[in-house]
Amino acid sequence: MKNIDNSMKQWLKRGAIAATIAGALLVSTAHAGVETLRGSAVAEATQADVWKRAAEYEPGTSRVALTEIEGLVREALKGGPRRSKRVAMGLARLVESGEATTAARSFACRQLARIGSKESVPALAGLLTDASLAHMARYALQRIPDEEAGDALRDALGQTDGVLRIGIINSLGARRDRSAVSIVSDLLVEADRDTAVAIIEMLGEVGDKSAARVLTQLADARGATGAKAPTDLLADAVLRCADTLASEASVTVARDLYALAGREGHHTHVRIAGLRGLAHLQPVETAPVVADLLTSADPAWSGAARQLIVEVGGAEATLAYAGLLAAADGEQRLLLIEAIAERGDPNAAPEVMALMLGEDREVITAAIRALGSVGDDSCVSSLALLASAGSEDARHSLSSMRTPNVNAAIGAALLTEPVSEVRVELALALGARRATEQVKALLTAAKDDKFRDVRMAAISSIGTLAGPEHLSEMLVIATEVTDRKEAASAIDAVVAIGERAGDVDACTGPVIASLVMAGEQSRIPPLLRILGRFGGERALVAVSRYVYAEGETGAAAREAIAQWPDAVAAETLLDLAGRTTDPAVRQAAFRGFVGTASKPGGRSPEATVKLFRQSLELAQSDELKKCALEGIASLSHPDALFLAGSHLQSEATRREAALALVTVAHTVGDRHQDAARGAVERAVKACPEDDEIRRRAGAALDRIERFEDYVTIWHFAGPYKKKDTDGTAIFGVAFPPEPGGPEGEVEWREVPGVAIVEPGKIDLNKIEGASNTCGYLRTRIVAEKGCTAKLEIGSDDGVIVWLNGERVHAKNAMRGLSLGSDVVNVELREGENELLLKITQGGGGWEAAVRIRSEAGEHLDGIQVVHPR
Amino acid sequence: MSQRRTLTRRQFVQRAGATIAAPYVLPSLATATSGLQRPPANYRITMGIVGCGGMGRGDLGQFLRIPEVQVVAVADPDIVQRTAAQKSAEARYAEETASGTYKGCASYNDFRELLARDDIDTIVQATPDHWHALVVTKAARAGKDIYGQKPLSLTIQQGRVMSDTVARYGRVFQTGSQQRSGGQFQKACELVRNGRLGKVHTVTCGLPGGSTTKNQPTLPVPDGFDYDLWLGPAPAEPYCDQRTHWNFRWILDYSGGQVTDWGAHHIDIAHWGLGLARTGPISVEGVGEFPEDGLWDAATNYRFVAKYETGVEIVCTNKFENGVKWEGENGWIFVSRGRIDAGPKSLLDEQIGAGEIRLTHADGSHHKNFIECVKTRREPIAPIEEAHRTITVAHLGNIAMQLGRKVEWDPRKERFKDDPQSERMRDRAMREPWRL
Repeated sequence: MKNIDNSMKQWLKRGAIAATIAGALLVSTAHAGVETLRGSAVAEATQADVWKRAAEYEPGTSRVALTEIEGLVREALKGGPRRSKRVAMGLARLVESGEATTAARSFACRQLARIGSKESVPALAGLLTDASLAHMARYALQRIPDEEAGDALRDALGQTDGVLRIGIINSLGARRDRSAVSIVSDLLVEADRDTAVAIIEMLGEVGDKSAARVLTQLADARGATGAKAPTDLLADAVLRCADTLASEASVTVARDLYALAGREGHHTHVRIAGLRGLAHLQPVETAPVVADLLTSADPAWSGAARQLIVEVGGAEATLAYAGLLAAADGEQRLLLIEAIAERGDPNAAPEVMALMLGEDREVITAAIRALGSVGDDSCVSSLALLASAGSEDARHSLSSMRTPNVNAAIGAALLTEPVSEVRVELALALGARRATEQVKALLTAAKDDKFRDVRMAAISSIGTLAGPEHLSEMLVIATEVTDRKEAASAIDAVVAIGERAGDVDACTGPVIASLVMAGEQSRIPPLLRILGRFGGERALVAVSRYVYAEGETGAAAREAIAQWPDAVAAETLLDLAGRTTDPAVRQAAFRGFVGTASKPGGRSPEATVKLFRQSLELAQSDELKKCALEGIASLSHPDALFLAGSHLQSEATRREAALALVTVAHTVGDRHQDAARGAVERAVKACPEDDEIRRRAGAALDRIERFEDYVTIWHFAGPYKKKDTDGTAIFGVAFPPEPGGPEGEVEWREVPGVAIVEPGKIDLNKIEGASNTCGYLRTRIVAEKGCTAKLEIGSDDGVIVWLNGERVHAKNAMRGLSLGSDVVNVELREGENELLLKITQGGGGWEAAVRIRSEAGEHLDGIQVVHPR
Repeated sequence: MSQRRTLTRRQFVQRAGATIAAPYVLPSLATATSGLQRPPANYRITMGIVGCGGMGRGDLGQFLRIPEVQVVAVADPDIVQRTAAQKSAEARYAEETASGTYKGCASYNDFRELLARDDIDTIVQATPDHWHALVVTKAARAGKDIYGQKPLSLTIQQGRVMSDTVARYGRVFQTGSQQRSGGQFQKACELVRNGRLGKVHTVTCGLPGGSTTKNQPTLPVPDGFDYDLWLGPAPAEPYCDQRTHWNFRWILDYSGGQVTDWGAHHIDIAHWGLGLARTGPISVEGVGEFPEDGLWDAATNYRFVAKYETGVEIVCTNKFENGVKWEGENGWIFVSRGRIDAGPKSLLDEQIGAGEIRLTHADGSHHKNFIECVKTRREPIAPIEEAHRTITVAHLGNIAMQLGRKVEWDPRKERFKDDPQSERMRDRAMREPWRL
């Protein structure tokens, strides 16, 4: 019976609420005019239902009705004042409803903050004395711009006390309600401490002249009312008020307020704030005071003075501070120069330049450095001259000056300056400044200057700045210069142009064309050296034609292939080394092979190991075998350990083989721990007295131990995405790799070494960065016998774990990786076990880690992790 | 994974003797005795941690490693969090004492007690977002330098007041936008800033999507948790665990969702590269999906575009790889915490010349940069004004999406243009007795 009564009451209550709010909506609709009555009866009934449900809202229950009303508010705001007024009236009725829940009324206040108007004010004002809703009433009233909102807040001051009145004072402050200044000031006499503090802060926030008067009186009197607030709090209100008045050009009042805050008795940081206000307000008048404070014994004042000189803006302030340089002396002058430099305003350049004429070396050095920030084109020749005399500071400043016409001034001076050492500095400065628009001047200097040092400096800067459009001119320079150093510099510049163009192949054509058209033999070697630096198949074919040539041409070609830069040439060079009968060519090709095969390229690690195996078979001399072993040391495949190990027996190659073993062991020790340990043992045993090998062996074992028990052999599939599905929701979306997922081809790829981060973390972003996605990792665990194992798992973000197809763990989370954050005990069966992980990704880091240990958290014997089938 | 262990590093070291043992032993010794390198107590920079949740304890860990810093107090309305932080600090300093114990880190429920201590030079501000403005302004007024977590503010107006107050008192403020101290981010921004892309027309910030949760029943407030203080200036709401601590981020009363949480990182980087870190957009428009039900109400899917006077557009969306991509007339550069890439690739080989803009610091880490600036009174790598301008874009995005229309913004006056509706959303009233 009791339940039936309750149900009846609830039903009746719902009916009453529905009638009230629906009525309100219809009334408000009628107010809004005929146009709003066009909606269908169904729509009205639906809206009435929304208001009814909203009125019943309690925290923790569905807020769908509230969301729908938010939609009404949004659409009403777009629809103009009449629609807004209608919805605002509905909200006001909800606020006033005696039947609506507190949460519903609170919600209505929130919406009125956006859409409310003066018509909404009476309903909100009624809540200002209600402790449970006063804040939300202010939430709306504070943001309603109409005067009526301010009136309501001021009126409520007399009806409230304590914290509710403080809230109202706060809102009047936030509204910068000037009409409230005298009212709240009158309250000060009787106010308790908390209210007095609120009033003082409110006055600071309002920040008009009347507030300034009250604050000044309080600060001057420090009597009955002022004493209620801490001194610094009052000073803060004074400062805030002063800032507002200063921004509104009330200079005199603001100045007096800043002075008030800056007087003795306040904390130092408050006094400094007063000075800061004055310095911004009257930069010229305060400059001498601020400059004097640079040498204050109190670091708070000296630090603040430096900050002020840097931050107070405007040319007027720059000139004021720069004007003090001549009269300043000692430490103050040095500090002033540094601070002016940090301002970075070229208006200070003449005064700073003038300091360079003095005799104080410290001042001269400081001035030279400062010109890097404040210097302009007028400083170019002076700085270049000083740089040519060996001043690194001048060289740096010449490269750093920021005014736009400095590059043009340097370019012009490069072609007219009479002293060659100065021209060298000018040419280098253009490169350091990345003055690409001055390449023409540099080319002229590179071709025509009578002094080699100038030409070389110009060529060096051309290498930094020039583009493919300058390649032909540079090829002429590179092939015509006779000086060896200059030629090398020109080759470097051409290579830099090619590399910077991002398309070396496109630059290869003009070089090969120059080779064909070279004519004189002397022009060929530099072109071969350039092609050797460019690399690529076309260049290799062109250079190979000259490897048997005599003299410098043949030497240049052999030198080029011995240092060939790209990995694609490895097979060709190995083939050449095998075919040739010329020992010099064989040696060059062999060295070229080792260099290129050691570089990362498109070849698989297995294929590279195979090439090195061939190279060892080909190597007839110990010298070539050692060369091959040096290359093998760079490999990241466990089979490289066998290649190196087979050369431990020969005394001639033992050391290189041992070095290769410990180096490869270090590299592959994350995933192939047994093989790596064995290799280290063999290397140390073969060379027990060799410190270098022992040192590297120690490092390798250290790394192997750090990865111990972590699973580091993984294959990855992914990333998988689903439209409009974020990193959290994708946790529940099944993709083909997981048990029960949809059918589909899965492309598994081995996780590369670069994605394995110590100790045992897999950084999936290094395989394929993505967001709102997921990926799968799988591996194979071989157990000598069935056992219980503890999986210590970490993931960023969520993780699902399957063992042998059975889901053994799941955690949907947005989190960073914490090793071992999830722990699950699993049963490993004897023989093979497949472990599969799904790792979700919202954004940012995307990682996983798994460690396999015994139930007791110790190393688990009889376990091996191998590549999945 | 090994089936057998035949030789361990320790065994090897023992066998090989002292000549090779030294390089491995020294680093650990250095760690254990790092206290020996610390300046005397009177010369250390004292620090208080305000907010001891995930971010606060993370920052605490960083500062405990800096020899010049002495953490002397922690504050948090949750006794569990502040006790964990206190223990962490005391355990660190106990390593330096002969007795192996240390009790010199005070613990406060109310951060105002911590700020009232004249012997504290600096604070870490790592509270939920709705507390940032109050903690920062009170700390600045008390003369403290501040390491403040991002996102800087809850509202545009709060950010403005925070930056003004910090400037008024000449305080050093480092924003916890630690990407600015990351080498790859610095490199990418320097390349863009120094014109390697030519004129940039579009920047895309890939941010995470938001999440939803069910409506949550009211729960009893856990013992030792001053929930009313945790709410502070936010509207009163009944307690449930998914409202507080880490999850406050997804509720608009306390934060701006992923839009501000990650926007604070990537919009900051976008601005930094563009050289627009002290201005703002002229318009923002976009579309966001907000949960229709459940406790969390921040946007889950979103895309908004901020347009600047220069013509460049910054696109913020959760439908793009996490990171920042600038596109200009000479190519593109992408950077994230995992990778840096460019088209053409050769852009990444470009060197920055002596006369060009550098965006690096020599202090090692973001936290060390703050401490260096406290000592030198120079501006840190992530100053508050730039954090304010960054988060303003995120706030504008949220406002435009909530209003469902384009908003126009005056970046000089920091006001909406002829738009009183939007202007109302520039700030919110705080619950009494709190005020800025």
